[in-house]
Amino acid sequence: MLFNSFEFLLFFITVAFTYFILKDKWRWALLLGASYFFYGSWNISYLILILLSTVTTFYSGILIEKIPSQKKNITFSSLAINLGILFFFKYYNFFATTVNSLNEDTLPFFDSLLPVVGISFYTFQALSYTMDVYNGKIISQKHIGKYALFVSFFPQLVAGPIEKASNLLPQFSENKIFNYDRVRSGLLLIVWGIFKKVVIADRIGIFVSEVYNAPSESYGVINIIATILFSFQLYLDFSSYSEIAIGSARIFGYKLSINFKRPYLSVSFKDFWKRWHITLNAWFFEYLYLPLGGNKKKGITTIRNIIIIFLVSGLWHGASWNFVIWGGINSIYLLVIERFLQSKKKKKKKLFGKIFFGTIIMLLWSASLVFFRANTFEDALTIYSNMNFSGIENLYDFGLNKLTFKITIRLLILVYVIELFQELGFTENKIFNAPIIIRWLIYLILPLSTLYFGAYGLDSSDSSFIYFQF
Amino acid sequence: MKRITIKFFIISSIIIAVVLKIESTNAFNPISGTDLYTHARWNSIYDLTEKDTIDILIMGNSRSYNGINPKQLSCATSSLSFIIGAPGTTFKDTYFSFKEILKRTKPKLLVIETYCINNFSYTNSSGTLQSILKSFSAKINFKSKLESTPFLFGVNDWPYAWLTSIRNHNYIFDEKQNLKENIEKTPQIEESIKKGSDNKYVGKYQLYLGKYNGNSGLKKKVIERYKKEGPLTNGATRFVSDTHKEYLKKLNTLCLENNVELMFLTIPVYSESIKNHDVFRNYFGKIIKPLNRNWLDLQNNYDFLPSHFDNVYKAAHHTTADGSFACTKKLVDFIDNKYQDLIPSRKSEKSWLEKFYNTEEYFPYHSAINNDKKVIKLIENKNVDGIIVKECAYTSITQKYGIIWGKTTINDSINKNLKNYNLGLIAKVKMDGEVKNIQIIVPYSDIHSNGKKIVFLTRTKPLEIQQLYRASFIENKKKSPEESI
Repeated sequence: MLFNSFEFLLFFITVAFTYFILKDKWRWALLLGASYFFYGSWNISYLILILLSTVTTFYSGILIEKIPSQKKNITFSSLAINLGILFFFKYYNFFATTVNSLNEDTLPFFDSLLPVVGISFYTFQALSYTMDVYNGKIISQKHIGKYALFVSFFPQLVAGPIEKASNLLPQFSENKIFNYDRVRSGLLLIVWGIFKKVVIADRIGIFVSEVYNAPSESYGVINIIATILFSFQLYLDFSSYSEIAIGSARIFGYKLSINFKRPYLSVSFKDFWKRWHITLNAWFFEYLYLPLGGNKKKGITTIRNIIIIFLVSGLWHGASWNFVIWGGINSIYLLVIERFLQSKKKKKKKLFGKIFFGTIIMLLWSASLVFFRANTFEDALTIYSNMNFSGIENLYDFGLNKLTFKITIRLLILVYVIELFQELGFTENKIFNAPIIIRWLIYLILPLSTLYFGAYGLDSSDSSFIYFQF
Repeated sequence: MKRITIKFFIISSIIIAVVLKIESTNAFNPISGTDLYTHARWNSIYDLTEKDTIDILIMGNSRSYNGINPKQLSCATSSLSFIIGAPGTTFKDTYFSFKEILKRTKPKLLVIETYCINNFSYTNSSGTLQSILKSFSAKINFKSKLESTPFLFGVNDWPYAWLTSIRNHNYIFDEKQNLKENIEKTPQIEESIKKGSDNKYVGKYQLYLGKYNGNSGLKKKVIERYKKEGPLTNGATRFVSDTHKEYLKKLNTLCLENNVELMFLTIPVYSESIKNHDVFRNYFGKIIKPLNRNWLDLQNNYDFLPSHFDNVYKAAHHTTADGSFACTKKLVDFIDNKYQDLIPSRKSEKSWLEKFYNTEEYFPYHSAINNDKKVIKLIENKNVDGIIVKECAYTSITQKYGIIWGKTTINDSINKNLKNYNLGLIAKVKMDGEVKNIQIIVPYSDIHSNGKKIVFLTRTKPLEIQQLYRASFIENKKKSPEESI
């Protein structure tokens, strides 16, 4: 069940109305049932995996507190089971292929092993709970229903934000009173997210897919444009998912973490990674980077830790060497190019400097995304090697005609301008405080333009969110 | 909560109102392709059933309306037949279409073409959803559409099913001409179809009884390809989904409740394009056995010609116009044999004659009305070469052409196998403004002849026959081109 589907609209309206009619003490049960229904709608067998992850991490939390002498073993067991499931379903075939390429037919390959939607997200969330209990940062949850809801909460189940137990779990025990402003703001965030996804990101996706799915048929500036456009598609697609998730949870009264903070307005790579997929980076920082030693020891250890973080982050995104290379490139950006950017610190403070450095970061980031988007390593090399500045006359031969292309670019500029305003402190309250005509126009134009200008329909290719595959 | 609910309701209502307003302009209706034909077919059946009762209803996918000629079927059985096939559709859709039709007319006989009873659903076959949508959007009964929606479509496809402007919203970017023509109201759906398709309509109401194909038959190159590359359809791998089995039972029950006779018909494909048909025949036979219904399987005891099939290397290809005549003839014989008392004869009814009299299909089966000045009778109950010719006449069908036909009976032609003969006429005619003596060859018409009567038929330029000098049966020694392939 996709957020950008009619099915989800009906599902969400039903759950939201029932939620506010129900007594507070039963709301967790409704949300848990709805979450399992939501997840099971992809594939009913996914529920077995999420239940397994829920039960193991829940009881390991209790046991860690009950038997402190064994807490290391219990934590290790919980990590081993959950990472074992993740490894098997997400990485086994990749691992087997790699081993078999070195030593023929050593390991069996399972064709029937289908990717499990959202497994990386909920596994990381559940693991963070175990490690927080182990580290004494939180006390274990005793209500298995509420804990199961923490692992499976449908707004953020399949693509985050990856929540920490200390943020989300206590909220399931709070009394949630209906709040008009909160619901209104949640609805606006959902509508805006869907607009960005369906009208802009999916439209860009048509062009990008045409180029990347047949890389030998495109060349020159088309490859450059497709690559830059993909960086926008990825951002709009993923950030819109996060916004719909945050908006949905907000309607019920739950506050989810911000996942994106206008990353394409960053002035350095360090800044970029503080704005991009914030909850995942925070997870890696807390549960991998710091345990490895972080940047306590300057020099080679820090460099090693940064490289490890980026390589693992790449692998987290997908079972392919392409993602590992993508992670590696970004670690180089942070370690090498960041030093150059730091030396130009003064210039960055000026508006021109901000735009200049922002553009450089965006272009370098886009260049790394070739490995992220290309279907194979060879495809990525083909895309790179065919890049030059010729062939602009073929611009409209890749799925978007002149009119559609122009509208899409204008909408991208609109989003950029809105983000600039947000950076300067413009919040949604400005909309809510605007004259009624402007407010209502926004309420009506966003859904109507999504309906009539969106890139969806019977002829459209896959409209699911990019990060669902991770 | 009340405040947000009211606001939510108002905003949703405005959005729905805007969408409905856009919908009402019909701007997003497709103006070409099979969408139009499906709409026209449904529009026609709605028009037709305002006044008339349909006797024989044929349903199925595109193979049904390419495989049967409803005008020929109507004329041959003196009844009113109609084909309500939808391209690429499923049996589930056929079931709901029949339910919709039952609200307007109760046919005596329902003929289901078996290719729609398959394992297709739109989750396993690309294009099937589009096909079901075409059929669904052409229907007008709100209640029955509403009832069928959850069975025909997944939740996400409900808006596509109900709102053409949502389904085809991409026209804004990709099909601006289509939008423009719809907004300017040109061409109207029916008008665009009627252009150049005069043989698809009958009578003064210009009703659409279903389309039949006018493509050329199989040529040597494609036949060789079938021989070389092998058949594309394997009867051993064809199967019927559980859903369709369930809907077969439902349809049977619906027919029993409404006193409608049900039969199955398989329109053939080229013999070299299919293998193991006997396996499917066995399999499907077992499925329909509990229903105790007749099945006319034209793939079995196959005697069709390459000219009866489209010149394509393709699975489940269609029949040509000749092919549809041949299939219709076999269906007519089957109906005469099995349902003789069921189908009423309407040949003396005014409304029936209004639709079919003076069509090309009428005269091979019926005599001209007495004193019809348009029909020039050349021979009437006269001996020609020892054979009594019951009727031989000419009539103009359109401004572009006329027909000459001759009829005799088996008893009268006992000494000659008239299959190998043409009826030859030498006459004084006025043609293209010139008076001249010409010989007219009227060939034997296999599709109109049967166990009782023999028909000769040909199309001619518009003629004015001034005098018939001589008539004779001329032996046809040459094989027809299709027989020689």
